[in-house]
Amino acid sequence: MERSANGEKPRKTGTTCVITRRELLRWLGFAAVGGCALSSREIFAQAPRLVRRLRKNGSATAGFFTPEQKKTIATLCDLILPADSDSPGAREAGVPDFIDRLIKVSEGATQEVWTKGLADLEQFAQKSHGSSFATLEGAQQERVLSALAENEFHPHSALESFFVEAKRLIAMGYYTSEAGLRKDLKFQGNTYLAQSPRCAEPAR
Amino acid sequence: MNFCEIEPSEFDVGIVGSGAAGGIAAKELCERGAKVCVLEIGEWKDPSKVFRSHAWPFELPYHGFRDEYTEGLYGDPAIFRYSSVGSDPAPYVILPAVGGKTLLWAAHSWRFGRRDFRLRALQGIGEDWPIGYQDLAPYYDRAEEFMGVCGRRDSLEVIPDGRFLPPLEFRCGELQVGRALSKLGPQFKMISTRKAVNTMAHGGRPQCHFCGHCSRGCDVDAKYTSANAAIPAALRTGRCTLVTGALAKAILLDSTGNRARDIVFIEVKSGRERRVRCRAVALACGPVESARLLLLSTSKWFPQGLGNRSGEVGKNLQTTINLGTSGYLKSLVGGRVVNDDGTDAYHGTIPNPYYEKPHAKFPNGYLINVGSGTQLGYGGQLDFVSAVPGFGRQYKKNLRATFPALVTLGCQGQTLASPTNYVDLDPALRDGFGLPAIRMHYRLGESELAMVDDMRKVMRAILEAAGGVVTSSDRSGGIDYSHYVGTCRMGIDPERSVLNPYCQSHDVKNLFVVDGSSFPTYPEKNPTETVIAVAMRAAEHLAEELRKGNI
Repeated sequence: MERSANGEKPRKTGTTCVITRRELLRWLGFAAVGGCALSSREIFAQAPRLVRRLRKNGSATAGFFTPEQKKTIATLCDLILPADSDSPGAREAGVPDFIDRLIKVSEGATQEVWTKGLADLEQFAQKSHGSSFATLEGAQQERVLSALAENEFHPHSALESFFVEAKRLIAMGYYTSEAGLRKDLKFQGNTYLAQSPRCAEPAR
Repeated sequence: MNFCEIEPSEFDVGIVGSGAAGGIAAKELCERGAKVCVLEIGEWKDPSKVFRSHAWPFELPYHGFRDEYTEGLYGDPAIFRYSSVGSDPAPYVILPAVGGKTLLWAAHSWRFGRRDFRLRALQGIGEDWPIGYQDLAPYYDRAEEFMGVCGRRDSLEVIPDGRFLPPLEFRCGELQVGRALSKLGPQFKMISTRKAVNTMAHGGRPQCHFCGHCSRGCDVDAKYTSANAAIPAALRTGRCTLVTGALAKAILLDSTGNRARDIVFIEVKSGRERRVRCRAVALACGPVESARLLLLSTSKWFPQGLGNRSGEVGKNLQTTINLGTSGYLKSLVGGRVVNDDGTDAYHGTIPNPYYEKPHAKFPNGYLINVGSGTQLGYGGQLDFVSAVPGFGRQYKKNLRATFPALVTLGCQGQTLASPTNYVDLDPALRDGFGLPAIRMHYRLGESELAMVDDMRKVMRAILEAAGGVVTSSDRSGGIDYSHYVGTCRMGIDPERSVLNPYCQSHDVKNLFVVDGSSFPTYPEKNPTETVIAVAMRAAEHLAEELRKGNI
């Protein structure tokens, strides 16, 4: 292609980018004989830099809930996925913040589910134990949740449905956190393997 | 190169789109001596910079639940506006970049079976292809050799064997599911999933490192994409001019109305209109956009759209329907956690069990993908947290024990062409570029619904036969936005088809549509390998016609 012979750089501003063959091959790291510039391992090692950029953008996001609501969510985290000798719990793993950020950018209907759900939970705690949910004793809080969890596979009320949703999101948040995924589940993946995984155990 | 410098040139072929079909067509044409201009609406994406595949979920602001992994890759819906009508609205998604949706595909690569080309002859439905398996076989060979497809020679008619790189291995859950299938009958067999992934280095690209993140983009190019293989091959010939940031808006004819002559396009960054002159035009925008481009290209000779004398452009829209079921295998609960990442999600596939003998209640076929273990590639694996009862310490212990036992089945089913399913131009809505927007029309038919019912029953039966417990099952079948085909179907009769068997327009001899638009009927298998084989064959024919001076 005669145009590439002068090695002209592609223009990127103001015009459509027409890339010359030479620029492209250099960028992609393809040598004329078709080799690769970087090995898999080298490229893999660069991935954290990109992610650090993303993390900086993410942490500035504001939350949705009031301090009281957040306290209730933190209490739910403690009850549903507590810390134990194996691993931190959902609260320690930052799940309340995660939920706060996620609900902030969620649809109005989702926000309504959480606002109403937390309010219903408060009302239920007041009615059954005469106090706000977060200030009940541990055993009382567990009784409240046990009552809600009774029908978790076929919820009868809005509050029972809210329990199902809160449990789901708390668990999803926890098991995608570092504590949940790597410490608790002991997830081994997201790394560099020299060959395809295969079943090492004998068939049972 | 200054952009307006391409205007005075005449190219042998102008190709619109650099995805699966466009990339291969460019390579094939350039390698045969044609001077080609490829117009691509998007830009280059540098895999080592743009893909977030190795990011941990907790390094992302929403742990990946707001599509952070593929953020910025798919087209902004505020710009790529479209409408979708019908009782089962079909989604439309574009990936505006060099390589298109091949950047994020899971690379499943299957040949169609012999019967898949002859649905009308065998079952009285749909339309037969005007070509058969034997016509495509040499192109399947070349496609697999070029892409690098891993697999095993399984000797099954439903899924013909090809030329493969070493097969993927089964994880323990997949193995257990595979062994249980004989309880359901001899038509259920699990084979190693075939993918365009380098289980060994191939084509100048490295071996896969089995991180399980194919669908987030392969940052080392071990997975075939149009951007890492086909387009570079075209550019290496020195005969390919790739123009990025170029939105094609119309094909213009010459003064006789018999030949396509110019592709009119908009420079995305400036909004300026440009044109490129070609001896022949090949559309490869994907079945939705290729149909739209023809419908937008009206003239006094083609008031209902270029190449649309049959009225079939936009019609016969088909895709696959997906339904998943997840669970866990009791015998693997409490097992040791190992690294089960491999390639994205599935290493096993049960080919269409109804290939030899269709189901009594529906003619559609479907395949069942099988994935197991602690790999999180698909994200949906975590749904099991809602299926384990209770809360507190014991709940946490139970989840931990269940994690290594997870298994997911994913059905992918055939849809039949129907008058209710087509694309046209929305009479009112304009997209972000001021062009009439795409309007999708879709309705799942009775046979699709019967098939989805069967999928659900069969997946449950498989999991239970394997000693598993079902934890969740999709409520309804999902329409797959990445498998649309059929909108410019090929055929012998110009009154009932848009293209001839070489993907050449019946109405305009120098106009080709080389993507999946040409498929008359479409089985349950992923379309891309067949798209590439068909595009290779079409490009070879076009190159020959150019060489002979027939075009």
